[in-house]
Amino acid sequence: MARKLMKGNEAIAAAAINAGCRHFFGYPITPQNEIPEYMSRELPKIGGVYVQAESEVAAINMVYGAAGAGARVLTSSSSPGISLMQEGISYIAGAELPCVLVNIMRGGPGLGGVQPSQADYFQATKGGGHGDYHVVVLAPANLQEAADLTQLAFDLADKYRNPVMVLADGMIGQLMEPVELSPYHPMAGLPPKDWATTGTSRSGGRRRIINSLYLYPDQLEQHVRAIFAKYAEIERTEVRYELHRCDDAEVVIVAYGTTSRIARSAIEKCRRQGLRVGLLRPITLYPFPFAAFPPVIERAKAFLVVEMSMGQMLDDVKIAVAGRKPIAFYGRTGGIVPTPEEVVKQVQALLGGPGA
Amino acid sequence: MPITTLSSPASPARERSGPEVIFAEDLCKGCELCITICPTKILKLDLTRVNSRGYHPAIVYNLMECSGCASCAKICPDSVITVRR
Amino acid sequence: MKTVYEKSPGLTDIPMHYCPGCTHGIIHKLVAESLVELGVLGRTVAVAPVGCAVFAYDYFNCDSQEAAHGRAPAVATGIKRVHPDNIVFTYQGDGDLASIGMGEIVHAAMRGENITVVFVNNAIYGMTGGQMAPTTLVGQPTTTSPLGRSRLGQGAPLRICEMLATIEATAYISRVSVHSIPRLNVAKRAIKKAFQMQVENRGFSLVEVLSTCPTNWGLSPVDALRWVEQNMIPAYPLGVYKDIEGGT
Repeated sequence: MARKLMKGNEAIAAAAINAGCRHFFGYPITPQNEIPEYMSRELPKIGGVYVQAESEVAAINMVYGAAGAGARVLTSSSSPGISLMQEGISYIAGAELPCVLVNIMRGGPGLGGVQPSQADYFQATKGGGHGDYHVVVLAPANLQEAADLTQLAFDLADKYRNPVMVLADGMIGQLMEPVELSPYHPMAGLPPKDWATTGTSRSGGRRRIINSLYLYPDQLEQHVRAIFAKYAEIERTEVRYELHRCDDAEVVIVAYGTTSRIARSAIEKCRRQGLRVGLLRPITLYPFPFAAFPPVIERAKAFLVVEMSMGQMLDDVKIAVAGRKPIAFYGRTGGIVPTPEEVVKQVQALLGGPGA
Repeated sequence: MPITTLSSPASPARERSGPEVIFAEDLCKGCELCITICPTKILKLDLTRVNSRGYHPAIVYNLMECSGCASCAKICPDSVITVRR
Repeated sequence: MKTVYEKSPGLTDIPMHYCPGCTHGIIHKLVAESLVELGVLGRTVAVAPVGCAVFAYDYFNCDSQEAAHGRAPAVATGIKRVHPDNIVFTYQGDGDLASIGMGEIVHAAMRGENITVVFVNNAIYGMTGGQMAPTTLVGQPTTTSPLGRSRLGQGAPLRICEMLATIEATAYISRVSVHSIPRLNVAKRAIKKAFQMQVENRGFSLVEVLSTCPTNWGLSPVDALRWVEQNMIPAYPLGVYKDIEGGT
């Protein structure tokens, strides 16, 4: 399809269909309702299935069932709804099933607000649900990237038999930008789904069981270690990030998603003032791009982490910098989106005022 | 696993044309549902021994009275019993 | 010599872990036999609950998925919507279906999901050691109603068949028991009919089977069957609550 002006939520939904998703189970919640609405319109036209579940709890369990039966399946929600899905996500990871989850983050905690936030970083990258597991987390900064990462998410999910989350915020969900969906080709070498519950007559007689229960501790340990071998591989090979104007940067802003765009505008303003500042933009939040930091740490005087939260990715940046340079943090929360001018002020403060 | 085909100790060895009741004895948990359900009351627990699970297995002690109704087999939760006639 | 009764090929050879005399074993047999007799075992997917039957995937000789507590109807919805020509059933106890899973069962019925639900009602939480269930009878002592279930603060038991029968898209809802051979025979016919409804794409079907928990009721297996007859049937009348084919 040609470049088309789309809303972020719709771009994500359209990309999912483009990548072969034919099953969607979800529940309405602001600010992501355009995703289920789009799916309810478009999936029946192509023989796909849209089910509006009775809750996010039911939706994630439908995802578990459909993923176990071998389908490419999507669900979407926003922060409080993603909280409800955590048990199900843990089950999906424990049963080693592929699926794509979309979180269009809003203000929290609790019922919070409906405006954008980035306050689910911990939930997304450090667990969320119970037990030892990870979800691969992809963080787009614009709509084309949202569409591209959604398609990549399906491939990564199938490749590793693990849930993959596209982590966006209400700004990205509601923005309109041009998006191009080129013809989709699945990643090479995706394994066949010879574990899916399709019925023994389809599978040549051997029963297939999808399960995450291992009552014997030695078996459960072995199982978890095997899953973590996958995560080791993911950490080795699936890291994605962007460096923008970091070659000579004295201040390196670390930001993802919407705040990275704001940082980019702030960098333009700063550079015009002679301030040498750049952006390190994680695209995968899990696996976090720790390897991106060493070359940048040498030259930088300081790091500035900008998030729409009280400081969550900040912890991973502290690990990455390992105390070698100072780290400043600027956060807005409650649904407030910082302006480029606010970020410029932070940079100026770090560098002792506007540059020569 | 040990299987018991019962012609009861009490009945004479002769040509049988009546029903056969076969127990996969090591699956029996001694729950006595078959004993209760049997309409001719020809089942009991063999209290002289235990199976590999530690239960007294159910046995037919009077095969002569067996009608082959298979009620015992139907009620057995562990599919211990096969009935032929 | 002809075989009158033998173990169903719809069951695996794995010995069942259920307590002696527990009716789970009987109900598993009725389900397995029905699937074999209808010729659908090779395209069946079972959804196991959390409860004593959590290992049901070891006993049914077909593909299975383990579900989170109460979520089996949602999991079954996902499986069925991917392969609508497969036969998908859930097997749930009274905590799984009538407590934590109440939302899922009502909405699967509401949507008319073409699945079959086997609801094993023994008025108690067995696996976790005998706590009160939504279907526990008033006055019945459990570990969390030590003085007997009290109407004040704990309410009266839920009648699932009666409730679900009011939902328009249900095709077949019936309540049966397995405490005697005549009742077991009716139960078998009901379960087979429920699966037949799914084969014919008629909509949502559910069979509630009044069952025993000898261990947590503190009764012998034989006395437990009698307890069903004397105490549960008056509270949970047997019969067909919904049948779009007009049967009784």
